[in-house]
Amino acid sequence: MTPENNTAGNLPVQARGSRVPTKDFLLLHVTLFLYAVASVFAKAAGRNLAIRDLSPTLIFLVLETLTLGGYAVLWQQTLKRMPLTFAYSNKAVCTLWTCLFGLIFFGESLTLGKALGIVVVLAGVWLVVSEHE
Amino acid sequence: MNSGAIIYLFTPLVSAASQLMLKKAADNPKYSGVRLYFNPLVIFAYVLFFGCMALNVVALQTLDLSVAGVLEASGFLYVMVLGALFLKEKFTAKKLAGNALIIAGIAMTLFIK
Repeated sequence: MTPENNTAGNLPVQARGSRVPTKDFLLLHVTLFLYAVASVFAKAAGRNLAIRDLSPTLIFLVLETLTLGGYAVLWQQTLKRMPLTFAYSNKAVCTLWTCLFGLIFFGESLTLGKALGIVVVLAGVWLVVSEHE
Repeated sequence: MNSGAIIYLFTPLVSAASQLMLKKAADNPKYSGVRLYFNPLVIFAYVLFFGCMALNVVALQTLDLSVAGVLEASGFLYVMVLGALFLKEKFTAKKLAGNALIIAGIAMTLFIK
């Protein structure tokens, strides 16, 4: 969660989720994807920090900051085009992407606990955000 | 428990608090124009946000990214609690059930091998 989503979704009713145009929906998902990409840079920075390899740590930190900056700009654009609650209800995909990226890019293993945990957390997030619809 | 996991359960709380500060600043009629961005509350909120970012990198030295992704969902729980405390938002059955599932999922990720 980031602090830039402070512009509460005070959009008119006709901007409800079901009426969000495809290109705005795509923009939302590009934005959420960027957030997950930033976590990949964070992990890469952490890995290098662990072995005290400071140049790549710094490079990945800069990449993370730039990605989060891009995310913040796009998120504000996204919120102009749809209600906050709709944008938020799609945020669960970030959990999914982040876990997937961990498995793909960092060779992490998918344990039983992790698999169960992801499914249960996603169900929980879905329940929390469906509250607003 | 991995110390990175403890950090990753804590930073979403700080992020949620910083989000609340931004919301309070945005709602404050005193802050308009450029003061909307440059006021003590907003600046402090961003200091906290970047502090969290740095702490998360420290945590990710040892913590799996796939676990971090799950732990980050604890933010929803903190938003519910802080929202109730400071914005007078109501606890509803759905919110409580959803957050109970989030807690259960986090526990499974951390404690089932």
